[in-house]
Amino acid sequence: MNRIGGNITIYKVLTIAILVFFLIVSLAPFFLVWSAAFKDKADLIDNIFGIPSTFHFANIQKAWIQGHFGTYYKNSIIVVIPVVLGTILFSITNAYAFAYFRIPAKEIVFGLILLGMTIPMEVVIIQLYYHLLNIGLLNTLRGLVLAQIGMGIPFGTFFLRGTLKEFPKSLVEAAEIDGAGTPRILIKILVPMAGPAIMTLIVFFFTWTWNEFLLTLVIIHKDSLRTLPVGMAFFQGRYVGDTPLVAMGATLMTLPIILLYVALQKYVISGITAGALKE
Amino acid sequence: MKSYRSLYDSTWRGLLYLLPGLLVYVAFILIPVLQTIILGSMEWSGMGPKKFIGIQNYIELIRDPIFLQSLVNNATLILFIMVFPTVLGLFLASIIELNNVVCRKVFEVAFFMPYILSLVVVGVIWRWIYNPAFGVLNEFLRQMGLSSLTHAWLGDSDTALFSVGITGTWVNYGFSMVIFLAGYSKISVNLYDAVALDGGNSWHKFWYVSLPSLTNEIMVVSVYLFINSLKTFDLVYVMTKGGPGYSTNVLSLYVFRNAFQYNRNGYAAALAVTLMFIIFIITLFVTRIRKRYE
Repeated sequence: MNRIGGNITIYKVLTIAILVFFLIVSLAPFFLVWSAAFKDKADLIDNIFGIPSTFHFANIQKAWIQGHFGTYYKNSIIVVIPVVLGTILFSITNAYAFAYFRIPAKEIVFGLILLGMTIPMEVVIIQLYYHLLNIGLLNTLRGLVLAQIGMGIPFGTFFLRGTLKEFPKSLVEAAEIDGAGTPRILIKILVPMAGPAIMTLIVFFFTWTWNEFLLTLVIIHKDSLRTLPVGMAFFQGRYVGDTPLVAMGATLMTLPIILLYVALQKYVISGITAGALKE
Repeated sequence: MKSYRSLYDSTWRGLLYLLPGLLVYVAFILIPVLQTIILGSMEWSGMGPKKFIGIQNYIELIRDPIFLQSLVNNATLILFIMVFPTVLGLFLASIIELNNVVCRKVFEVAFFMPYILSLVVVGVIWRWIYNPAFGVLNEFLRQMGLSSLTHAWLGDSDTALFSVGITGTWVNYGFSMVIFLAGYSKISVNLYDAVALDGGNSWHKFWYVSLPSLTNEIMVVSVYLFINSLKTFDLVYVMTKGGPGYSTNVLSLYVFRNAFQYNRNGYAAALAVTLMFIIFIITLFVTRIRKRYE
């Protein structure tokens, strides 16, 4: 059935043509970069649009080892895991406290946390730099992780508090009468019920942390500690004339994420859009 | 009524849950932000004592041609990062929905793809596309026999900002489309049938049913992308570093430069506070409107 009713096929043809045009616009840059990554310089000049005449896999090793992509990957993973876990954990406990407990001046404290959602990174970094310098965490992944958790907490708290408040109060009251303590109620009842919301948050914080640039640029100066986005920015400066190698760097950064995205697209799209919609 | 005293009435239990997260947030975000606000009225090179200078930084700011240029550039980027993606996303979602297109999932997944990438890698890819000598765009124009149109897209101050902006549009239109599709899925088919009964065409359906039903989504997307265009940093840093001259310089980059390259921390703080203030006002304003609307 056609929602608009009529049998106006010309519109349908036009619609498909427009959509296919934008499909090409969206995807072409990916395919151009992925194929450029496997060409050598001469091949790329002759044949910029086609698939490689021969595949040059040497670029992979060159980017991974000489270009330090192996290190950048390792650092990104070392950062993203504790940030996602930490932010989720603190967001759950914060949300639990705000949604259920009687705490004096609760609304004011919650407002202070909400404020964090509108604060741009630019305002944080200027003093955070000296702050981390003073406590010896500048230029360390630990410093980066703590700052990223701090940035994530406002949104996570806000999002999960909303979720917890939607659950019927009677559920918690019944469990309490049955003699369950507050940790047990949280872990056994509330967290499983909030599963989909937590999944959404995991996706959101993962992409957010994985792609963070400005904060990392300011906190990390050692090349051996750089994460992928910052590593990439310096990598392209180092190999400015070697387009296939830069394209390989871009491929190493995009291809795994795109594959993961296509496999989990349902969660990714709902996670990121829910993140944006609530923000 | 029973007077049952709940565990949830105990403040110290609640604080036990609240304090760890609150502590991280206060220590690493809130305190630096408060310090930055204070720093906005100081002069400080990063070392030695800070000197209180009142609103001097803010006075300098409104006279600073680079700041004003950055503000204009950010305003231009609003067109590319907020207006174009919102309109295009709404258009694409509408033709998909109103024509009941098959394989819509394919389009949804593909159009959203650029949005999940780090803007750094997007910048790197598009810098290659725009490269004057061996870039994809000029090569494409040459092969189409349009050599006269080839251009140093990022190297010319007349086209650099637009070129960066187009990249911003490419990143965001799929994102806005996905949100509008989600909005469309909440609209009842009966409403369209009612319009059809009255003899309305698809334009009427869009104008009288879809558009009013999507007001909330339009507002959310606009504000979100508005804030994103004010915070633009990664794309500009990677693609042009603000150049040529200051033709693509944006507020964030100017904050970064003042703080970490020119050692003008007080001035950087004043710039950052101004940016925060703009974002804060807009958010507050829109939250008000949304509350009234709901």
